[in-house]
Amino acid sequence: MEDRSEVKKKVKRIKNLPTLPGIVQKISRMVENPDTSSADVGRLISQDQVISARVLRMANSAFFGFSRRISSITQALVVLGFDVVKGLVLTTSVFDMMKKGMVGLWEHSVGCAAASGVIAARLGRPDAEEVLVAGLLHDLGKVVLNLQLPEESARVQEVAAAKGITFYEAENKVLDFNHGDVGLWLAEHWNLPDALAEPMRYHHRPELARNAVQQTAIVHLANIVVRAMGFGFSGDRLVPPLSPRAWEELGLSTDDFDGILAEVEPKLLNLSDYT
Amino acid sequence: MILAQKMVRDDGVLLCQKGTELTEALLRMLQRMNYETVPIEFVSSESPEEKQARLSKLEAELDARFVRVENDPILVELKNALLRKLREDE
Repeated sequence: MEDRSEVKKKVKRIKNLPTLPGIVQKISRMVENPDTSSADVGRLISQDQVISARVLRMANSAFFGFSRRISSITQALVVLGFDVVKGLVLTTSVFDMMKKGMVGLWEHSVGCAAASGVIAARLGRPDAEEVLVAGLLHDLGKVVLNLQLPEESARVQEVAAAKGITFYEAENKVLDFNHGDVGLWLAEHWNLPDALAEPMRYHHRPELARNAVQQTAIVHLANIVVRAMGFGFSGDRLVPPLSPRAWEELGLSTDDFDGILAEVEPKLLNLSDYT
Repeated sequence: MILAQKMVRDDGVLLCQKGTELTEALLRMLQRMNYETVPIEFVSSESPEEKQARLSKLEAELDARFVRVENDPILVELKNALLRKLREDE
């Protein structure tokens, strides 16, 4: 069994995620520099249409509640701040890693993001975009486990398949921790807010969330929905158990399932919307 | 090729309606706008037997995914909703 503190060290050794494309690395460095102005970052981001689109989409989401439309990157950076930009850069880099050899997990994450956004909007949450990002990042711990401990990660998958249990259950048997713990270490390392960190840590144990209770319950259900749909692959093909407390927290009825599925499916047809 | 769903730009501007014929010129324009994929309508060449066999396979896969949670009445409803969707889509 891999020693927990040793693994934590390995995870924390990842200062910057590998395989970042040039422009993402530049943005990341600029954001870390206190002398960088919004105009500097704005000019650089404007060169990348994908990142530009994401920043503008978030800036114009109901979460921020601006009455006027934000139409330029510089304006969005002033309003959103560098922290949000950092989160967006992170998202981009995670996708880059996932696309290289972890296609199934990438699809699962995109599916969970889509379902999280749909459920959050159905509940009338004004921060549906942020909950979508929480869904996107929920299995980040698995990505890092796969990269840092490939042998152990493969062993977990073998045990899950052999015993007919979930990847999460197999992690707890093979390792002394699970991808939720790794997700939390990463979230702490990157100073992510609880709204992202708690769904990353507790999407299998949503009743333990303290500050982002509903967001965690949403990602918990979204994970179940996307697995039930058979979209993507996150280490096993089983629908995990539903937490009664999370279900109660959401206040949904089973009649909502038809609507949720009808809304989620078309979003999965065009995966490039999320990259 | 026929577009299977409408395409809307990030700022809400409608680019193409569902059912639009995807001409070479339109595809080039979408490519210039950085759209790497477009949803197209599926034209099936399956026989009724092949279709039934595929549906049965999808239902068996669905059963397998739910094997650990079939005693949860809420998740059984999720499975039923997926079964309805599967049959409606065919």
